[in-house]
Amino acid sequence: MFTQRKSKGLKVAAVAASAAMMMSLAACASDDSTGDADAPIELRMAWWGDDNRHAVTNAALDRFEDLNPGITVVRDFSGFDGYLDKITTQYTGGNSPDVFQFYNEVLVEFASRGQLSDLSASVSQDGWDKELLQASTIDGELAAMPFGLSTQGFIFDTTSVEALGLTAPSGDYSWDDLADFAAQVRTASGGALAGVTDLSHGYQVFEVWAKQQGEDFMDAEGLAFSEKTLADYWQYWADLRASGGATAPDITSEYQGTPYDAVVAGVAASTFLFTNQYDGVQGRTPNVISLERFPGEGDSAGQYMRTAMNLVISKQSKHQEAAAKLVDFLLNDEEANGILGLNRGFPANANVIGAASEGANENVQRAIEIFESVRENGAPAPVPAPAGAGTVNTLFAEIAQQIQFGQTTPAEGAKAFMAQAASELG
Amino acid sequence: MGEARARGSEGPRARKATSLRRAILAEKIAPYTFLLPWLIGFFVITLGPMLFSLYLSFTKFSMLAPAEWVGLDNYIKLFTNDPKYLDSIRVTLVYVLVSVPLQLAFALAVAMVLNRGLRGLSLYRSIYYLPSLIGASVAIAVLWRQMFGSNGLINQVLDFFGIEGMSWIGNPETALGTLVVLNVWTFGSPMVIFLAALRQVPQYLYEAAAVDGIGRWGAFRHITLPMLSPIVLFNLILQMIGAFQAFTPAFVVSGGTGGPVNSTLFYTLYLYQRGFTGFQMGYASAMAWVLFLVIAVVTAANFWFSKYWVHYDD
Amino acid sequence: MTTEAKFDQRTAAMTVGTKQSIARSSFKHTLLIAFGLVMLYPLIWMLGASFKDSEHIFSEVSPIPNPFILDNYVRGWDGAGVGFGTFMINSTIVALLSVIGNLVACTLAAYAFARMQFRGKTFFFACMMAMLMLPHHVLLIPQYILFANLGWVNTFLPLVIPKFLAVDAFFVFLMVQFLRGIPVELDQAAKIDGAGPWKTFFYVILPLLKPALATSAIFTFIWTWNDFLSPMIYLQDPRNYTVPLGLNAFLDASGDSAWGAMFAMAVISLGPLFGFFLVGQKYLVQGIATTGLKG
Repeated sequence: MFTQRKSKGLKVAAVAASAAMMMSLAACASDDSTGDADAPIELRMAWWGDDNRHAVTNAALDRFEDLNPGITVVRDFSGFDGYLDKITTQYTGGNSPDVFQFYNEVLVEFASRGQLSDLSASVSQDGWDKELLQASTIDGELAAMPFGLSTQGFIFDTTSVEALGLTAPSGDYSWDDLADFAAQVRTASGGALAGVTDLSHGYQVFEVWAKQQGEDFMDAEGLAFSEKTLADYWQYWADLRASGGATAPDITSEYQGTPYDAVVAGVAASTFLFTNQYDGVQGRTPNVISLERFPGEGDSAGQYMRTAMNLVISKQSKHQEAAAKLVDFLLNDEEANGILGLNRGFPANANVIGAASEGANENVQRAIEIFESVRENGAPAPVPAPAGAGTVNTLFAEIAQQIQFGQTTPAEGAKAFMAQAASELG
Repeated sequence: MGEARARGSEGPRARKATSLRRAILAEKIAPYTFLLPWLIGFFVITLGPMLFSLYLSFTKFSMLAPAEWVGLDNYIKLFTNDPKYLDSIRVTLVYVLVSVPLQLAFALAVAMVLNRGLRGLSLYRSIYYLPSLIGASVAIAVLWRQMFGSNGLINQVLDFFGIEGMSWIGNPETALGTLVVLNVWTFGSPMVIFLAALRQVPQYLYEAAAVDGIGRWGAFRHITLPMLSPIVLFNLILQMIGAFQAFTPAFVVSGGTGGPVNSTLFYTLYLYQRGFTGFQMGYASAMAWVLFLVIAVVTAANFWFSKYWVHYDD
Repeated sequence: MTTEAKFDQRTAAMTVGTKQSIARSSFKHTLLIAFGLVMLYPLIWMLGASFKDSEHIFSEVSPIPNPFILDNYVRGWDGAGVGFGTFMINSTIVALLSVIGNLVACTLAAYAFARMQFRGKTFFFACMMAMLMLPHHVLLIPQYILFANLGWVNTFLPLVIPKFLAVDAFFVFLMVQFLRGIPVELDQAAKIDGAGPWKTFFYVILPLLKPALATSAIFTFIWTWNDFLSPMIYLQDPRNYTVPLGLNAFLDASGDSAWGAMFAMAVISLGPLFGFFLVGQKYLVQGIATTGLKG
């Protein structure tokens, strides 16, 4: 039923015509440039976030338009879902936003293919930590600048913990302390509450663990830790599951994307998050949630000042100069940062932190404390990982889950991970 | 038919011949005038992109750099060096085989009940359709956790009876089952199609059957089902295609991971991961064309078998 | 709903023993209501959550809001400064245009496939089915390139024009199947009476196709209203956003999300959908059986 002799000629012609059309379209995707220097410029900026972020960003962009007559900014904002699809598709169609917010995991994929403009000359770096900028330098070009920093943290539901007659860890505490605490919570609650969510699938948690051992998760060459370190890490969580301290695998999996929801829902007493999420999480429960650094930070720090998100300029932008002006305004202008506040995390430019954190509530003050303690005593930020890193992150979670559900052991899982990750990174 | 009419009409020979030719021409052209929008749609905005994706399936294409021709590499890797791919096939087949018959049976049963014979049916129809209005929305992720999560409704009910529950969406044994339930829950579309089709069954057939005294079940077997069979075929084919391509439920409920432990890794979800998260659009296109062939074969088989059970009036 | 009432009367008259039938129908009603409640639980939960403050949405299991607040509706309606009303208007425009497009183009194509003979019919029918079979994720990029080159990005055109070109093969196939259920003698009778194909189509077929047209209209409206990925990719200016984009803009999966506002607006946006369904379903039940055609 799928072919009919008679119409073959027509079919072949149509096929050829359409194919030729698609190829030529793909090849000539938009290359006309505007010559007139004084003509009004329209920039498009894309970002993701919730309605609060949209509100402050729109306000900052309004201010930018006031200060720069002749430039208007189209605000292409959205939620997180579908954001990457949108950016990638628009790139392929030769129609990317001029300026956009971007996340770490995919930065390298775009930068290593020459799709992001070098910001080193066009945007001021006065007040910026040079080591931090090194972390966004790919193939010798400053492909992105942090649009908000954060660091890792551990939260404890102190209301629930105290109701059980226990005390939540604080200050310097070790991974063993966390394990003891977690097991106690399970016992004291009669089995109803886990002490901590199982974090064995979180490469972002393992990253800190590895840094505390003097290693790293990934560097420019690929994996940067030994198989033993990973096996130990997965064994630690296996023991916690055995003692009842950690959440059961099905619960862990239910809250895989947002472990802090397990604390909000009263399923676990503690978990990890990023400091910029702390205020939001506290707002979602009547219980008091305390914020601490990771376990094991007392001996050798593994936490670092982490880029929560980046700001980048597309190579496809026809208005590079105006785009750089906008990026510079959003990152370096005191007034802009006063408007933006700490919605995206802490500004990376030390000169504008004061303006941004004005009027911060006590939750945010606590997050600032933790962040500042990491600035004083923390590990260096990781250098950009090679392309394919995203697949490795997924693989990490997959194998960890197989261990959680008893399909393999920590030692065997670690071995399998090392081999498969190496082949993905080729 | 038009030909016969022309032949029968009176008049001079020459005029007769022209009008005959004109009628035949009109007869030949008419179908294409009806088909014109579709023909434009097919040749201009569908065929090109389809062929382009076929071409991409033989390339390495990151979307951010030009495509490189790699021949059959993508297809070879799919079947020889990608265990996750085989996982996704297994998950999808189970989903198709379980959820399609369940949903169709459910939709037909409810449509029969809601067809006629009760007051307030239009309200019931609307209420039963409500879930389908939000079945694909972002809210589903949260709502499904409220149903099948560790703190969800199911566990509360079980708890009432003293049974200890678990996280149904977090357990690899049951996660796919919750997505089957989600699919059955949104039975509104096939239900509406069945309802519309039930109204096409001429009432006099039932009246005649009542005289013959064949009973309700007999009427269903011998009148309703045969008269409905073209629409049953439609629903079967479309729901199967839909189930083979199912994406949104797994994407939303598992947060895009296809977890736990790949237990909800639908074919198109994995395709999406490869294409848009892994920047391997060439590989994803190869996956798409393999699926295309499978669906084409299954659909063709459905059409072929339909000769034996579908009743057409034409 | 008069036809509905007529049916009830007829069925009631046909059954023996009215008391028995009352008991029976109230039993049916009870079952239908109980079953409906189970079906609707997630929606009830969502409705409850839309009146909860953010402290209680996820930390409490019960769907009953305590305290009861309206802030989510106020915050949500603001729609991140653009206004959720704008999103609703945009969605309505796109959905209505799509309904018109699908009804016109798909019905025409279906009539040709179901009732006419022409060269290449089998081949074209196979092509039409093939359009349903390729996962649309791999078509996104080629189609985007096409529409970007036509200059249609950031307009409703990429969302609407394809409907006028019968690209939704689902509906073509749906109507083909419905048409094949309509007795072909009707067409032939029209032809003998001297009606051309267009006349037959308009005066004989269309009136009989009402349930299928209603079905197509309802689905088109709902599916285009809920469509997320295409608007996400094609619309770049918030003033053009449709409802799903507006809902999505409350959710930052990697950080803060305004769940309460999202639920509130999700509830509101169910209104037009539900309304369209209510209106459309009246026509669903007007088949051959109710248009008085007999033997």
